[in-house]
Amino acid sequence: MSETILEVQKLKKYFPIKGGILNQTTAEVQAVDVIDFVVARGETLGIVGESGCGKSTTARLLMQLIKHDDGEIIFDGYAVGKSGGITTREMRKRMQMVFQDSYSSLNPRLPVESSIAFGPIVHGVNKSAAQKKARDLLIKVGLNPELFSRRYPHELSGGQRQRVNIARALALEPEVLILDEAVSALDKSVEAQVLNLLMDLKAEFKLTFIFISHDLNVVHYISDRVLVMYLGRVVEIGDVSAVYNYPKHPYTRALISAMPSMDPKKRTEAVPLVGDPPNPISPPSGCRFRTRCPFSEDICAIKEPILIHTDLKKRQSSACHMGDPDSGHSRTNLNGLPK
Amino acid sequence: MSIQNKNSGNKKTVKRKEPLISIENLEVKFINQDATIHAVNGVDINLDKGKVLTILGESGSGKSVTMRSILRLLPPKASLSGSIVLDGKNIIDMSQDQLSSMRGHEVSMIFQEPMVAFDPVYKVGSQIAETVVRHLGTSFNEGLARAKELFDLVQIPSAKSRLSAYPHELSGGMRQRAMIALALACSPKLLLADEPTTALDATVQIQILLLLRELQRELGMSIIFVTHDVGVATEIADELAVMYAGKIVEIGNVNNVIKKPAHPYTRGLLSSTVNSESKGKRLEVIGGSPPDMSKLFEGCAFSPRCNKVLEHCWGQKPTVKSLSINQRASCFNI
Repeated sequence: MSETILEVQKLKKYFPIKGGILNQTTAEVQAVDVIDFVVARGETLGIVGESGCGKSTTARLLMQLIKHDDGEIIFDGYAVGKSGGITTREMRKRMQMVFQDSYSSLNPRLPVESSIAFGPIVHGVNKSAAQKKARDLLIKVGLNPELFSRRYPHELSGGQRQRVNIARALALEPEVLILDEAVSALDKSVEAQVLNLLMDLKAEFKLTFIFISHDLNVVHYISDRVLVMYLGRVVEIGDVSAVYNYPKHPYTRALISAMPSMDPKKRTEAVPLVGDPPNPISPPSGCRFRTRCPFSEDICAIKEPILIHTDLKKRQSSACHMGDPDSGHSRTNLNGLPK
Repeated sequence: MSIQNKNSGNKKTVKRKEPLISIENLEVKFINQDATIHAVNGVDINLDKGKVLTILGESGSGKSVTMRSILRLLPPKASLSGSIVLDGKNIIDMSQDQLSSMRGHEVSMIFQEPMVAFDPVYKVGSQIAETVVRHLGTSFNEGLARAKELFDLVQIPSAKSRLSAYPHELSGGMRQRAMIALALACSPKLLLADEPTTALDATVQIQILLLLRELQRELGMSIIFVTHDVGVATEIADELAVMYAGKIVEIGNVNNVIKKPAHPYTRGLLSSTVNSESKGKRLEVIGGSPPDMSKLFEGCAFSPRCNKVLEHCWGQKPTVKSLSINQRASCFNI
C-alpha cells in the first residue's frame, strides 16, 4: 500500500460553448486548467474556492462522470482508464461520491434500502447479502432500518436523505469518498450531526476524504490539508493550519478574511476583495488573480506563476510570484504577505 | 426594541418612544386541504427607527413568513391574525390599493435571488425608474436620473452604462447591488432583507453586508434581516431574534445573545455552528430534527430536542422572561 492514494497530473477540462448557424465552438470555458495535486491515504483534503472556480468539475473529473481533455488521474499507483492501469469501473468501486442535492441524487422510485443495495448488486453481490449490507449501513449512519429501509426519498428529511446518500456511497466499501458540498444544503443543527457522523465513519472505515465546500469554517474543521482554487487553477495548497493562519497567496488571505466574524465586537471593517471573479471564458493573462490583487505588478500580467511543490512533504506552497525571489516581483511573501 | 411581555398586563411603566414597526401576536397559518401548517405562532416585535433586527432561524422556523407578512406577500391560502402597525397604520387591515402604495415606498424588500426579483426582459435602469415614477410621480427621465444616483450609492462601477444592462448581463454581486438600489429607490423607512447574501460567494457576501451596514447608517433606515447563518447575523445585527417553530425563543442585543445565549435552542445552534475554534473537537449537536409544523404543540415546541427539558415543558407554554434590559427568552429554565 502506497502512501499516496490519488494523484492528479496536469488535469484539464474546457467546456465548449457552441453557437452560430453551424453550431461551431465559439468559445471555451476553462473550468479546470492544468491542475496537479496528490491525496495521501487516510487524510482529508479540503477543496475551497468561489463558485465557478472548478471545484465541482474537479470532483466530477476524478469520478470520470465527465471525461478530461488532458492529464492523468492515478489511483493507488494505477493510471485510470489506461492500458496497464485501472478501469473506470474498478476505480469507481474504490472511490465514491456524495452530492449536494440529496433528493436528486436518489432514485425517487426506489425505497432507500434498494438504492443502497443497488451498487453491490451491480458489482455482483447477491441480492439478499446486498440487502443485509444496506440495513447494516443504515444503522451505521444512524437510521433505524426497521423504520427507514422501506421508505422512499420523499418521505425523509434533508438530513436523513443525506445519511442515506452516505450509506449508499459506503456500500461498495470504497477507500476514498468525495463529498461535494455534501453538508451545504443542510440546516446548521443537522449539518453538525452529519459532520460528526462523517468523522466517525472515517475513523471506522479508514476512509480518505476529498471534501469540497464553499464554507471555509467547515473545511477548516474537517480537513488535514486544503487546496485553494481560483478560476480553474490551484493557487495554494498545504496544511490547513498553515494555509489558514499564514496564507501565502493574496487570494487565500482575502478568502479567509471574508469569513463572517463570529464576534459582534470584532466585525469585519474593510472589504477584503473587490469585484467578482472574472469570466472563466477569457481569464486574465499571466496570473489569473492579478485583476483583483492588491500587489499586482507588470510581471503578473506577463508571466504565469507556477505552483512548484505539490508533493506531500511540503507543508505549504502557493502559485504567486511573491514566493519566488527571482520572479521579478518587487515584494515577497516568504515572511508572510505584505500588509 | 423589545418584545412585550404579554403577561405583565400594564405597559405604562416606562414611557418609550413610538417604535417604527410594532408586531403583536402575529400568527400565520397556511390552510391546505389535508393539513394546516402553523408557520408563525405568536410573534411580537418592536423595532425602533434606525436599528437592524436580524431574525436567525433554520428552515421552516417561520422567519421568512414573519417578514413577508409585513408586506403581505403571502399566498391567498395564508391566514393572518394579530397586528402589524407601521407608523400608526395596521398593515393587516390594509386594502390592496393601500398595500401597493406602501410596498416599495415605505417598506421595501430584497431577496435571495435577484434574478427572480427583476423582470428579465427590461433593462435594470428602467425598472428602477418605473418604481420612482409610480411612487413619487416624477417623469421617466427624472426616474432614470434617480436610478443613476442609486447605482452610485450602491457602488456599481460605471453606473451610467450599467443602467441599460439587462439583469442577466450583471454578475451575481452586481445584480444584488442593483436590487438594493431598486429597494432604496423611494427611500423606504424599513428595508426587509430575506437572506440577500446566501447565494453569493464569501468574498462578495462580505461586500454586500458592509454596503448594507453603510447605507443603513447613512440613510438612517431600519432593517429586518433574515438569515440562517450565525456569522452573517453577527456581522449585521443590532438586535438578534432567534426563531424556532414559529416563535421567537430569544431576542436581545446581538452581543448578549451571541456571548451569553440563554435559551437551550440558541445555545445548541451556536455550539453546532462550526467556527475557527471547533477544530479537533466533537461538535455539540442538537439531537433530533425540526418539528412538524402541521401539528400544534401544547407546551414548548423545543421540548423533544431539548437537553434541559422539564416535566411541565411538555404541557405548558413558557412565558417571556427578561434576563437583562437587553435580552429576553422564553424558557422554564430561566
